[in-house]
Amino acid sequence: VSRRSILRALRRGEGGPRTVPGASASPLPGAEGPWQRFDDPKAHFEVMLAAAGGTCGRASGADAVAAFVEARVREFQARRIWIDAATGLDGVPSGASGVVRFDDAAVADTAAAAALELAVLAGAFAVAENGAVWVEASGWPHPGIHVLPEHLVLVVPGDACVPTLHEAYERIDLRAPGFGVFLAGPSKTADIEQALVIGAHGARSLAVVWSEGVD
Amino acid sequence: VSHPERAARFAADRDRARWHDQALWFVRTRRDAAAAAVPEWEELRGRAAAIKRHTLDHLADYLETFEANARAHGARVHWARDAAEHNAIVRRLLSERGVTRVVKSKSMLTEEVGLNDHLARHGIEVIDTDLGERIVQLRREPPSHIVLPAIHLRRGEVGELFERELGTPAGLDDPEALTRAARRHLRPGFLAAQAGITGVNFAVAETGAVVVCTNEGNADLGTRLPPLHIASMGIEKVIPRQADLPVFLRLLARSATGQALTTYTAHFRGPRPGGELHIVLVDNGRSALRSRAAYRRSLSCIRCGACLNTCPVYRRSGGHSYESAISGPIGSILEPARDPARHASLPFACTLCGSCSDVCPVQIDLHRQLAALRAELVERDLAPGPGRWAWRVLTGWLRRPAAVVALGALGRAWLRFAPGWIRYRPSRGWSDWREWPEPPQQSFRQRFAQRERRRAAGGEGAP
Repeated sequence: VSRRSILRALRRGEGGPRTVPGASASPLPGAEGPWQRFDDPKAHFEVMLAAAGGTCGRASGADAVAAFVEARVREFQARRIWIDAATGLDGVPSGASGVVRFDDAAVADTAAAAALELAVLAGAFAVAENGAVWVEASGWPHPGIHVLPEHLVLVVPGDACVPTLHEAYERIDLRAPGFGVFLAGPSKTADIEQALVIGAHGARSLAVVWSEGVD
Repeated sequence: VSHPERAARFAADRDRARWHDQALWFVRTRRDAAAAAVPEWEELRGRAAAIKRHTLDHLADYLETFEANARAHGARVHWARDAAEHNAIVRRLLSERGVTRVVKSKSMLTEEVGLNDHLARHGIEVIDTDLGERIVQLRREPPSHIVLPAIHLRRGEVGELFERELGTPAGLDDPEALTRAARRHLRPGFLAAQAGITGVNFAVAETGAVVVCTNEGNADLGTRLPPLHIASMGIEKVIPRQADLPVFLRLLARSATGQALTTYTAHFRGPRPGGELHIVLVDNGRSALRSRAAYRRSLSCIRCGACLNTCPVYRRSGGHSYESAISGPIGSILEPARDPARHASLPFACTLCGSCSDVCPVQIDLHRQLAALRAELVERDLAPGPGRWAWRVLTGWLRRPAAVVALGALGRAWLRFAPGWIRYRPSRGWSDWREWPEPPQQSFRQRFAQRERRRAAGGEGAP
């Protein structure tokens, strides 16, 4: 009933239902550019990510990516970690380090996911203009795995960096059911006297690593 | 109580008012820097305005398309004509599932419709999870800014509040420590919540996706943990295409805080696995506002807050002086347009400087709409204070040359000879912070007559 009454009220002011496309007095503008370009998109991404409170590293080869993640584990003295299998990091953590790598079944429990000190997710691509990484929730053991752990590492293919959001949305498909998110640095707030504080409700740190030269 | 009286109360605390003014101006300068870093900024504003204009002209079609596509993702879509219907729908969804604990991320719509109070009356506890919103919720007051809800408070006041409500140590006023305390306080709330309520920044008709932006991650936590997600949105939040999203997202955070993008920009296509997503489309006066040509474009607003940060009146009077869910320039249009008798003083608080229109990312002609609202309020005899009769008096005076001459002479004599305490009496309010100008020696008429006499005599002043 409300649906019909709202739509009727709106159509009264729209010159009847189903206006012919293109015949509108207020046409929908095109979506094409030209848009901003960067000489070195990855370098610009790194500057913007730093401005958003994140850090970035470059790793050449699977071993270097693993070493980057191990370094973060040590940095945060993480004991409980989870690593997305999509990152291909099967050998982390290496050796007997006292670090427990939770499997997907364990992390499906919210309490376990919330107790994670570090999670490593696969990022689809990076956006140079704003330091964001697109992360699609595919194959996640827990729907909130991007926001529950204390620290996040995003592994992004070394050649996956678009200049602006316009190119980003050409790579994203929102038609299928699911969840996806742009992550631009760690969780933050400035709600007390405009003082920036990193680590509001979500991750207290976010590191992006370019995975270069990995198939 | 009118805006000027409430503003005077805020301004009486001069340190606070000064800090408030400068803090918001700083946000404005960050916005300027972020905008300047995008060469196509003006092009984006133009596109955004055109997309919104087009969408508002075809709103019924786009809402139907959005509804169909959102349903295809497994979302349920509800329609609410007004605040009461919205609140009833949300309460029914919660009650039917036995929900008593809800977390909510920032949503100006739920402020507009008074959702928290409604749910509390029915035994459902709502925890606002945005830090600023949680602070004002604990203080039992509304947000004072649409993006920075607690901008009217100093750190010491937040410290005292947290000492009382969260048991933090006395005298704690470090923002970092206070934020940590809030995180510890709110985490259990997220884990125990049975449902999450969010607003909506953008709803994409073409794909049925709903986009929610936060910096804290509270919308993500609040919706990805509990099995029920309710997203409330005004019907004007729909945009046609996925390709329109980048236009608005590039403008939104830069205009709001000077960030290139919010930290979390979540895209919901249906519920989380094993959960439910309900989207409530709310009219609450929007279709009526759309039918009024002068104010229609105010529905393009994307709630970035840039017009508040730049407004010389808002910065010096504080958000609570507007006594409305949405304050500042945009609130001074939306609220009086909805309820003119109650909010009649707001459009008259404006100086018509036009700064709001200059920074608006969707090119809303805010100052023109405010001027149009004033005219309408005067015509409907709703204008506050002297506005109700002053223009009639002024018109009558200007029509009578002899009266202009007489009052001019009287005015000059008054300014020259009346002692200060009398001189400033008729203009109290205006002249509390201003000096009257030095009165001229002669009136314009006298000078003109003198000049004509000199010219007739062939002396100086001849062309």
